Amino acid sequence: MTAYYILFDNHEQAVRLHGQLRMGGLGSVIAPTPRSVSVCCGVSLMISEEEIGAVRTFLSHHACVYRSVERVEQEFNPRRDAYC
Amino acid sequence: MADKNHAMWKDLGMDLDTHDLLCAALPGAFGDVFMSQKNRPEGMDYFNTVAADIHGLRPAELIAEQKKGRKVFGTFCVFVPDEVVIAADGIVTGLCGGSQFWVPDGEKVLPTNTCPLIKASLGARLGKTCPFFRIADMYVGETTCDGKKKAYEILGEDVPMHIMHLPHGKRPQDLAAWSGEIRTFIKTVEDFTGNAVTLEKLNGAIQIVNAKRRALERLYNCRKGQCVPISGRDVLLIMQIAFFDDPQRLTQVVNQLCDELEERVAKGVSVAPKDAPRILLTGTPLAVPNWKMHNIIESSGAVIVCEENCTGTRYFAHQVREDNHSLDEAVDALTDRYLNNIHCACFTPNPGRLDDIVRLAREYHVDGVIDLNLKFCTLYDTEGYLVERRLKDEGIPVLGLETDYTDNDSEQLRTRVEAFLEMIRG
Repeated sequence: MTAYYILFDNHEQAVRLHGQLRMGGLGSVIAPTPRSVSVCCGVSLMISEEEIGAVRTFLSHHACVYRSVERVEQEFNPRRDAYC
Repeated sequence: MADKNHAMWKDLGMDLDTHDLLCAALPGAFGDVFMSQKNRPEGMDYFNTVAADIHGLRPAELIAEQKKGRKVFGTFCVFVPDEVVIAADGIVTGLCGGSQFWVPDGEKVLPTNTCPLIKASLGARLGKTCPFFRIADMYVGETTCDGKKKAYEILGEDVPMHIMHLPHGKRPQDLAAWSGEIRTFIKTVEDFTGNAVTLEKLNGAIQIVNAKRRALERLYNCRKGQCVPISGRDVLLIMQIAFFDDPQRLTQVVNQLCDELEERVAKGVSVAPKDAPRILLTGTPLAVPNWKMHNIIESSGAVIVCEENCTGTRYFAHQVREDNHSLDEAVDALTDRYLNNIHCACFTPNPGRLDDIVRLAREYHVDGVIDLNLKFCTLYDTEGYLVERRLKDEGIPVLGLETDYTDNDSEQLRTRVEAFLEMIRG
């Protein structure tokens, strides 16, 4: 499954953009940043492949603060049983 | 953010390379357990945020408060009265370890046949791989089991430690003893913080913690009906965060979430199919990030609607009497709430727990109970015999399970859970 992650310098930026996107009728999920795109234990926004086009348009038309948008191939599997 | 966190962890004297391995495991595990769920409540956003930067956000807040002169008290048990610390303008943070990652460092100083919660807790401190364990100015232990008692002696060589001696009964002399322990704890906290615990401050702190208890109880009440608006996994995450988050902020966000959940119930929005077996989980606590059994049970087709354990109902059930007119009255109120109303397996006899499980099973309309014990927890393991016998007498299906923090037994556990669910479904 392809997903997109918006990365930030701090969690306040992530929470703010999450709210902005919601106000704009766009979905995002607050998520831990995947290690493949950043080495921090930080907060990012996960965007589905279906919504990324609209989200990119939103980002380009609004004053949004973020670091970058990264594409990630991932599969969430609740039966993987790999805990931390 | 990463640089800021790493600078903070370095200042705390942490082992950054080893800690980085834990950080690496979190996104995948969190994704599998939480983000794989459909139709989660929007109110989980806050808890996702806290979990996503679990070793960054709250630790930074605690350090900022320490710089203002406040003291942080790390606790390991629901018997330690948060109210006392809050009344002295201190901050409480839960410290129990719930990750296999910390166990090997714990095993360097503890027998292997110690419960994983204790091994992980010591490992997190001694291995320098958890910021909360580095930040706490004083640890507050309690004598709920032999493993903890001896482990605290080892921890006490590394960090200031206060031990509350919990009586293992609920007779009048036990209440008197626990009242004395609370008074001693007040004196310790006053001396350590330099702040007096006055009647006004203690009454205020009781109100703060009671409000948090009411919010968590409201959250649990949302799970009682046929429509289940939130998964057991999400409630578990909330409860785990409740142990270290700011209590007033947590109360606010949980109440906001409950507004949404009550609306979901009114609209019939459920996270589980109507025929999903409803499970009550009882037994040993589930410290963060121990999400294993909730994930196995719910990804096997059931929904957990109640937890009778220290990271469940025992944490919030029963209020402390408010508006006390003297410090003696306030201490009596704390004594009553904590000793009389928390039914830990460390008590003998402990009929209140059996009554609680049966009552909760009825209130939450459960189809079955899973009695879960952490390996080497003799108290809960032994009490399991009485729990299972009582539930069978009551006609409530029950499955006893034992596990630890490793992933090795997941398939075996899944097989047993699925067989249990099949039996329930008839």
